[in-house]
Amino acid sequence: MIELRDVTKVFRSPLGRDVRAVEGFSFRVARGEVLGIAGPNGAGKSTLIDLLLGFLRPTSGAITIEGVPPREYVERRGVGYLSELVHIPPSWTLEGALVRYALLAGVPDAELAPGVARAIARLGLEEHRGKRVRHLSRGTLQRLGLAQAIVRDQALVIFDEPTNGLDPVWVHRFRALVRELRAPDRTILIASHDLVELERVADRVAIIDRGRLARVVEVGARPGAAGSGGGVGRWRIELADGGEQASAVFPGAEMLAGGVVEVDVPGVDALNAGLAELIARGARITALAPVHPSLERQFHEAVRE
Amino acid sequence: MAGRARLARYALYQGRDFAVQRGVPILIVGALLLLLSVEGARAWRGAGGAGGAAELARASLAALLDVFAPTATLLAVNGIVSNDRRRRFYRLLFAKPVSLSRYYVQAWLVSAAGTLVCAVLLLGAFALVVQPVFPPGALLFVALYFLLFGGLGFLLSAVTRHDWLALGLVWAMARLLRSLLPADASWYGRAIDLLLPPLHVLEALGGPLVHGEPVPGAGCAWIVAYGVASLALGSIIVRRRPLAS
Repeated sequence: MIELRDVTKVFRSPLGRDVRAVEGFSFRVARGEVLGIAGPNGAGKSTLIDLLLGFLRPTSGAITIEGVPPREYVERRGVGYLSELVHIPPSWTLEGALVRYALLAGVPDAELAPGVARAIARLGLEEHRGKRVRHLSRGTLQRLGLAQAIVRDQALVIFDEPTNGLDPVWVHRFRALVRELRAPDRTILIASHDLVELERVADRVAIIDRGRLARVVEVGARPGAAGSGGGVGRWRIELADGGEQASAVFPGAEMLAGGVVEVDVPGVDALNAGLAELIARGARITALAPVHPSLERQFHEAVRE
Repeated sequence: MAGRARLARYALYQGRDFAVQRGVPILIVGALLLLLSVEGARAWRGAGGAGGAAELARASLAALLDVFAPTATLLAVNGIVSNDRRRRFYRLLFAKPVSLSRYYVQAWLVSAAGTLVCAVLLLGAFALVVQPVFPPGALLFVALYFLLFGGLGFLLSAVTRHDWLALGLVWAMARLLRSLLPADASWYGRAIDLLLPPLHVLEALGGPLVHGEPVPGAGCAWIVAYGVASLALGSIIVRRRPLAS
């Protein structure tokens, strides 16, 4: 679906200084995949998205989407895109904006009103439909941004910081939205600072640091995938009794003070099996918690301060 | 999942934006100019100038259009491309299956139609309150002005975000350099004459067009060619210049 081959983007400042926003980036994203893109501020995430939408051209290297350059792909097929900051003319009404974006997305007349109504309902925007964009709160504007991105089914969806400004209820609903959008013929890219969110919705997360692809982490949010639920990583187990059994069950377990043990497990199944054996050996577990979400740990390893 | 943008239908929304954001200011400028014409007409009638009233009205109309045509064109095309870049509206617009050049050329055509509608309203009001004259040549003058000055405005808006300033500079430079370096005096005078917009030709057409007199075909052709070339070059730049920076 998407292929980047040795892509570099260099910006030249007015003083002639080169800034390498993206450097030597090679990567493939398959159809049907949900890919997270993570990285610290200024890592090159936004530049990468601008390159994928054809808003920028690479200084060197090549990008193709379905075998054609990005701008050609976008002008032919369109992309369901939510930008990091939602810029919509403030004088437009919410519903008017959606009708315009639906027309530009190529929604035919017969589907225009139902399609817009569906997007409004999906994002809970009914009470705001007649309001002008300038009067919308940050969270409502963000939901309008999401609504325009999904007003028509697209084979490529790109969300840039999609949970910006959303309250916890809508952050939760966003996860459900991604689950609904997931389809074998659709590729979804989500750039976010929220690693917990990415871990929950993405299949893989590309960690970018200083314009380079630092690491690709399999997080396996795909329903039914091995390791589903993000059980990979380090866990802290608090035990009332039987702590001495932990090292026999979990090789490499680290015994801490007060009956606390930290263990590394390859997945949620291994964790459950180990806990069952620990209980069978007479241990009494009082608490269980992840020490670090695995993506966060890998992120910190990949992004050297 | 695929489908191209329905740009023809979208023209209605571009027309609505034009009416609210640009049409109203153009009509306000037209109304103020009309007020001056009414005062002028009152003065010449008061001086007993009943004879040749239609001629005086046409002269007054020509003077009105000399100010209205450039002002209306500037208001109509200012920021036509650059506003979307500057305010980042392009990000959501052009993630849709939209051809950039078609989108903006259509916006320019909608602006041209809107400006002509404003001109028709102004001429109608002039005929009602000053003198019952409605020379079709006056409308042609506004159309030619829009084609030349508006085409150049489109090109400059595709190139720079300070398009109104650039357009004003080109307008002033065209006048200044033509007066300093006449086309028949030197080869560089001739080069400058060819390169800069033929505003002097256009402005010389205003009076004859309003009075219904014949106008030189070569002059009209130069104006049309310059305007169309500017528009075409602008649409190529829109297509080739990266949207983000």
